[in-house]
Amino acid sequence: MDDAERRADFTAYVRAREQSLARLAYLLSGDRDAVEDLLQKALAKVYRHWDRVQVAELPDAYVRRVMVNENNSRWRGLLRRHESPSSHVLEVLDPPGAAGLDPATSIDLWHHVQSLPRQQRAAVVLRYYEDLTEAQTAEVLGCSIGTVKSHTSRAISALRSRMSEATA
Amino acid sequence: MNPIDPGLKQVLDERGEGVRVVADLAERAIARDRSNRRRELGGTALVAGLVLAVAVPVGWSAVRPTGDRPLPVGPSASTTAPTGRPSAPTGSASSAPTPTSIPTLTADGAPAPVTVRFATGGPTGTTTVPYVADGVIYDGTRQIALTGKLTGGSLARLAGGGWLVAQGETGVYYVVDSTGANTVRLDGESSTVNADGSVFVIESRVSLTAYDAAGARIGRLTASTCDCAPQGVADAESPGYDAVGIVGPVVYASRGFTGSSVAWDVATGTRRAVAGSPTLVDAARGTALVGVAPKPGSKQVCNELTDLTSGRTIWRLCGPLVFRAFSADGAYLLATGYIDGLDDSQLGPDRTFLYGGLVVVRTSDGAVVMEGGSSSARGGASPVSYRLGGDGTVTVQVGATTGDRSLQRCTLDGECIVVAPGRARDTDIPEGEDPYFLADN
Repeated sequence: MDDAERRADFTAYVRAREQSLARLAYLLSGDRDAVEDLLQKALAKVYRHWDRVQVAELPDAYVRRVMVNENNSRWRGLLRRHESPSSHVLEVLDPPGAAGLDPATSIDLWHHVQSLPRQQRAAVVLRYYEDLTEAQTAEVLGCSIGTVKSHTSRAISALRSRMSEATA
Repeated sequence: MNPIDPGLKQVLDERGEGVRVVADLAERAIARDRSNRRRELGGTALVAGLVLAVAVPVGWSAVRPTGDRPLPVGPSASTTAPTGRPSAPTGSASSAPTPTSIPTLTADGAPAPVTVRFATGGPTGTTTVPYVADGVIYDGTRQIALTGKLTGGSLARLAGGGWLVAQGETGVYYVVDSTGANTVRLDGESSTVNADGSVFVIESRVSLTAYDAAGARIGRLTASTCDCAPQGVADAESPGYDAVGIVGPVVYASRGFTGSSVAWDVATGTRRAVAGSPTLVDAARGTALVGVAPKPGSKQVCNELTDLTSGRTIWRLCGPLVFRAFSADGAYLLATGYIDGLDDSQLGPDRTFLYGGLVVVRTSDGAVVMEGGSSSARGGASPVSYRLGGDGTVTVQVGATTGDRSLQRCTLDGECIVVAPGRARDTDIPEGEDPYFLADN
């Protein structure tokens, strides 16, 4: 694959998947400035290794993995390079409010999701938003299925406990 | 088999819905990669960035099931897992360089000799396994009311009559004295306690901190010492230390993606490398369960029982089981057969699980000696947590189709009695906190 083909192939993939990738990145990070950085760094890495990624025929799985790793990186804040701080690539709008869900409850639950430890939050997002199986989530997180079960259980327990405290 | 809570899923969906891409992401990613390459060629200021740039692909290949990591074992002799009848594994070793063969067993769903039969009705007995429920520790016939708003989240017995109690799963732990009063608060994401409760570790931000039974700090293993990533991968990409068990004063912890572990003696502060990544450690017999990297293309999950001292592999068991704990005496392993997302080859002909929610495996020969319990999806009593105590019985938190949870004590003959009554479980978020928390040790 020559460079032009590589660019075209990568661009086609990103354009087809950009909304869902951006949403995943936002749910993993929970912060608009952070998500822009996360998304761009992750996609730059994906582009760097596009030949391998594309051959693997699992670009979504690879991109998820890169995003989770990036988001987990404790040094990301130190290494963050504000190349174009004023040019936003995303808009994050206030949610319209899900049918059947009390707005205050929705906001509380979202705040609690954001406060989960990163690996737990990633497990919840991958399982509940991306609807991945335990086995698929384990592959993305780079851990065992048992650890996914543990992360998910701990996260859900924490959410439930915090929601109970809020309503007590 | 993916229980989705409507509320949580709705919140994630609506938050995701609000995100819109308003720029050309592909073009920016390509430009960023170009910029990264320029920096790397310049090779001056951002060495760490360069490491990050290669970290993920290497890490990916290191953890992907299809990776080429060699198995640290010799040839194997395969047989179906015995079902309760101790028997020497059959088969012969192939012509491989190492002289010893590892008995390899397959958990293929053959019926276990014993099927657990959960009871109904009210309590008719007690359990020797301590547990906490709704702010009260139950230890045999003793009941210890926890002070303050502490309701429980996990429980471990500490030496000297105290307890380590988590408040929900909020990352807050308390050392509680014999009267139930909080004495020390500790923050962390998970805890591991040794068998006699003299040492415990709290894991926080991939560092491990060890404490004595009074909650006094003994030592710390910081993430910076982990060297948890394979060559060429930044530590920042690694999950870091993950404590899996404590034998006396020695804490065993896996080291990220390296496929190796560390044995940290908190009494002396010394560390030594341990081959493999144990997922469970058995202090009673000095063994560990080690996950095995799948062979390329294989959909099968395998685990090995190894001797911690010699490193010898006692057996390898392959099949759709997730192991949760050793029994107190190390004679058995407890596992669940409920694993979401398994390949069809690991399911029954009608795409059902091969095993129930509770599976008991004998460590001497890898035999499945008891199993049972249905998944909540199929209805019926569902085991949700369990511990095999020193008296040789399994205490099981059993979920009923109503959502209630009771505690039952089951013999290895499959007979069960109720030891604590059914308690309601909030159903606002599934997969959540259950009313009973069994002691970890």
